[in-house]
Amino acid sequence: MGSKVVWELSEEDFNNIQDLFEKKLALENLTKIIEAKDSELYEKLIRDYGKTLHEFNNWWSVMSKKYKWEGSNWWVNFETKEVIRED
Amino acid sequence: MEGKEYTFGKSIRGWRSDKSQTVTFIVTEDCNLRCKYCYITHKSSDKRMNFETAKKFVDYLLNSDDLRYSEALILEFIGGEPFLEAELIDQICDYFKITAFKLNHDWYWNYRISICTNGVNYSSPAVQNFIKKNYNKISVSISLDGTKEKHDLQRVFPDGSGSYDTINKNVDLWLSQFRGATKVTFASQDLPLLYESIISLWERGINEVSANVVFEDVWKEGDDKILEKQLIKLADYVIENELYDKGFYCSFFDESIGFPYTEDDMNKTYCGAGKMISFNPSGNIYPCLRYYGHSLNNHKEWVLGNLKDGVDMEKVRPFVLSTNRFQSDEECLNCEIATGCGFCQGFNYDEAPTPTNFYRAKYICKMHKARVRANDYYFSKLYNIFDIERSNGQTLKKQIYFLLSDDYVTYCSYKNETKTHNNMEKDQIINGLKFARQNFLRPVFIHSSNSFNFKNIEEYLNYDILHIVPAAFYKIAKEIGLKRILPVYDLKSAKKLNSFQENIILNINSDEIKELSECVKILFKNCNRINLNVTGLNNNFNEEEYCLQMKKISEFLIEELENRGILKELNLLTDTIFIDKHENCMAGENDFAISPKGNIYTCCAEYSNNPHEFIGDLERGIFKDYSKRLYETKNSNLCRICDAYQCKNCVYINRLYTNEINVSPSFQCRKSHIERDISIDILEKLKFLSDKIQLPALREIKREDFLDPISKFSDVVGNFTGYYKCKR
Repeated sequence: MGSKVVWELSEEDFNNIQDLFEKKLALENLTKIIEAKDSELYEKLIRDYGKTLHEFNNWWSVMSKKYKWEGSNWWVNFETKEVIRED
Repeated sequence: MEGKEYTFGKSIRGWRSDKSQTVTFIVTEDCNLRCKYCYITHKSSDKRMNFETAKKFVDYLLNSDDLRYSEALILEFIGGEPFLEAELIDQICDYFKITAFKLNHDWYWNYRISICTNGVNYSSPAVQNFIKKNYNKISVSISLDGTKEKHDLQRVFPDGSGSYDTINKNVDLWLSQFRGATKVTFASQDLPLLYESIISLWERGINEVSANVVFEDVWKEGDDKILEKQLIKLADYVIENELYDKGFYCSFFDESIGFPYTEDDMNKTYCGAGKMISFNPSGNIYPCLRYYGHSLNNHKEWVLGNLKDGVDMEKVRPFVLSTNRFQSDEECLNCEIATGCGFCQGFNYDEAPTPTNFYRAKYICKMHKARVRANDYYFSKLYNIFDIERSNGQTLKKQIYFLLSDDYVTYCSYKNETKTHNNMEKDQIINGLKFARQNFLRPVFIHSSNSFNFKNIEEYLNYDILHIVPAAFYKIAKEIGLKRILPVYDLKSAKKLNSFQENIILNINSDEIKELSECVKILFKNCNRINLNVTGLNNNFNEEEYCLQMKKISEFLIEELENRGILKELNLLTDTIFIDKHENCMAGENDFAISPKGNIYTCCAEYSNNPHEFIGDLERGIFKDYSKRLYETKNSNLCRICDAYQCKNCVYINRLYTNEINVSPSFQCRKSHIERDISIDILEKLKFLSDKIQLPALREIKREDFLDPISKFSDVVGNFTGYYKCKR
């Protein structure tokens, strides 16, 4: 197992993925406290989570193709703004 | 060397620190510890926030834009000990998250929860349940002060027993959930335990240590020496074990501290009071928890408002305006190591003779100085041993020139023609270096012009020294391991420059001016910056020829700009375009010289011509009244109205020709205005090319109808100049 820096994100790209990540986490934590019986809010949560997850996955798909990142198992180091590949 | 970096010495950055604002809920005034240095001096077991009050605060936050100025929000919970109210905090957070989500407020996702706890009940089910529910959106730090001995000196239970063992049991669990980061506070009693405490935290897996000394009036004689010694020991540990880039932090070491305030700093303040907001248990709103009564001893609370009426912006207004410029007194504003000298504005307010925010308690002054010295030590070693530069790009304001021999190489407008070579002894050099560190002076070694027998010893690695050496000795200076070298060329040696050197000095005598432009062109083939010294200036200075030569150089610089997109720098022509104040000879103001025997002079020329006129020595420092104010540029009646900022106005020449330190002779002023006038040509070209070349801000320089700025003075005062006459 090893890791390799494959890309350094621009400020704009970094902000996009950080926002999506924060949204995803927030919605996941909301699923722990919003109950299904509160149907209107619960539906909004499911809808927003689905949308965010799609945007999150799409970001990786678009960016990896655009910048031709090697491999597939990537993650972002939010302190260095680097995209890391795990081998 | 590019590519090499350090973490030890960098600031610890918080989550979205440039895009977030903090809101603090004081959930209880109670605490299960009685830490001796705690600023909350009025703890109370019966004051806790109730959920209804907290809900109203959340509603106020989310339903109005009154308090919002940032994209992201940090919800901070504090006490007393916040986790005494873990269930309440949990309720508040759930309410916040759901309400924000219902409202579609973007803080529903752009937030973090932040809690600093003493760790006593960290493993309790209530705390653990709360953490699990908020996983990845919460940061918790436990205050662990280092070793058991250090921790238990301060952090005690109400019965006086130490809390280390209780807290240490929870540390493994905490580290399995969060990044190891803690806050450590030092007071007088525990300073000798600083080194071992920081290391014990690192060894425990807590790599990020935010450490500070208390702001209160507790410091005893000699505490600064203890702090400096402990920090130097820590720096040595980091250097010897090559830990500088391994992710260890200790905020005592910070690349940004120890420099004068910039204009930008003047309009800021160290503290976030008034940008943060704090809610107390009874429904009041404060600029920060330190303005709440539980930590105030002398003045009344500073209340910004309450839940019923909201925030009174008139009470917030002073926090916008209380910046360094008016919080600090003259001593702090003019301090050459002002940056990073921390303060708590709430504590300042409470300590002020009258209740005001425009005041600064200065009890930590000597502790800050000790910290700056230790930082200088660490960054000097980092550079000398590992080639890693302190990355903030600033240097100390003041310099001290070590004249290593009587026949030191000429390094300014004064031409040294002394032939004897009494050398500075090693012990004297070391005393000088200690003096420089003690007084925040940058050491500059001026080497002999005729021989090079300098021995580079290990102790010099502790200092960041600039070496000015004759070009002929540049290679040997490199070979013996000197790092920061500025070579000095003259007409003869200029022809021998055949390897690239970024920055050099060129000395040319006034009777050699005809060869100046050709010489400069040759040198620029292998360097990017020339610091030109025109020596031997007097009344016979050939202004016409100088003007011609400088014009040729200007044309060459413009050609380089147009053809290669590079601005080569000749200090006397290009500096004035980018600076906004005089960078004259700073002798007697910011620059001093040490003679081989260890006496201190205002400048090298004073030593070489008037060796008995020293102003101090290494043992006693500066002890003579040498009319310091006359050396300050602002106290020259000519310089204050002149904007030829590149001028090298030599104070020795001033006194030699006009009898006054702060009055430049006409030929010196006229020379500078020739340079100023020609700079305008380069400036105009730079403006034309500004969309193609990336440059710092350019200043405006207007053409004048005079070369001698005394004409400008005469225009203002009219007949008051009497019969004085000069060329305009």
